[in-house]
Amino acid sequence: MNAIINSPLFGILLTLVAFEIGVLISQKFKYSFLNPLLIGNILIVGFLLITGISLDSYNVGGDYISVMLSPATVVLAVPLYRQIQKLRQFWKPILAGIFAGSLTSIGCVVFFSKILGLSSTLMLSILPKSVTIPMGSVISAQIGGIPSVTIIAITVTGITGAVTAPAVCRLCRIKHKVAQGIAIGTASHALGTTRAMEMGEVQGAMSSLSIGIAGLFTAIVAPVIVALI
Amino acid sequence: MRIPLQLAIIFAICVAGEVLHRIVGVPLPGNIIGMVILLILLCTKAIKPEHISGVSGFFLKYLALFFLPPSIAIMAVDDDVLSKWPLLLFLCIVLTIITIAMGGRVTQFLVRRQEYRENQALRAERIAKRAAAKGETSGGNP
Repeated sequence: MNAIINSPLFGILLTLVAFEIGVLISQKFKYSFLNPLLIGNILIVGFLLITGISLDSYNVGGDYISVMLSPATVVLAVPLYRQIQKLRQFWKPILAGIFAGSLTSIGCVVFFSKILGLSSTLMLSILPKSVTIPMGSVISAQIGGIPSVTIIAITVTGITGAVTAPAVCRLCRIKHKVAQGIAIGTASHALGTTRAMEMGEVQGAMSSLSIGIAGLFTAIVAPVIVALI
Repeated sequence: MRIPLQLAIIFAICVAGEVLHRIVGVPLPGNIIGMVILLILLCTKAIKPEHISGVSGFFLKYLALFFLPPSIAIMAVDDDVLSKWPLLLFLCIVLTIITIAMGGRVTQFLVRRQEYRENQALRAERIAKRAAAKGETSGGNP
């Protein structure tokens, strides 16, 4: 039995099954907080805890899937390229808005972590929380955070954006379609973008444009800010 | 293009990104450099989106699957992190709302300012044209 558990096949199969169950559940109930990634995570962690199988055994197979994060990030250039033509008219306000949003996110994390007395490892783990996961998890590792904590924080951030975005826009009187899309994509990456697409075509396009640009900004700015504090 | 060839292109870009990060010393993670490389190749039309659509479509459609294994390492975090979870989740929720508000207000302010200026320029142009047309007609018929 140990030979099977320690073969890569076990971890790969467990990941695929847990992910598909997560997708099934989230499609059936359609609540934003039932995210396939969160459900899959709970299923796998639960399974490993109950059976007593170690994380190392799981990772023998899990690592094969993790390797694919690299090509998955690279192909993010394709949607970014498709949207980049839409940048033409308002490119200055858009870049400035994404930059302001990313800086707000990073600045607030540092500020509140200091006030609440969070350890620096935790602060660095949630610093890239508004960035899409493939970029955020490597930024976290680079600046000294814990990537698994970052992934959960990013998912919670994305769900929050998807659930609250229309209300926040109404409350803060953000009415311009371009501004709505930029705000949602910058704050809550691809998960928020699904909601922005429901709000309208312009919002969806602007939101998906912001994902890659906000990630790039954060990748450049985060190490600089970490060096300063 | 055949799928193995598409995969070869994407992985070649991944390797190039790692080389630039680890050997040349570009201070960005390798996969993010890779994304910039592919974006440049697409913008310069060296690669067309259709050339790699089989592989890019697959990765983009099932993106979340590839984050699942790294997220399981959450099992191994120490008690210090576990005791802070409620606080971390609260921070994520509140800061997301602040970020949406800030990003949206700044973008909206700048977009509207640009629209206002463009409208003003347009109006000035129209007035100038009308004045010129008037000048011509009055000059032609004494």
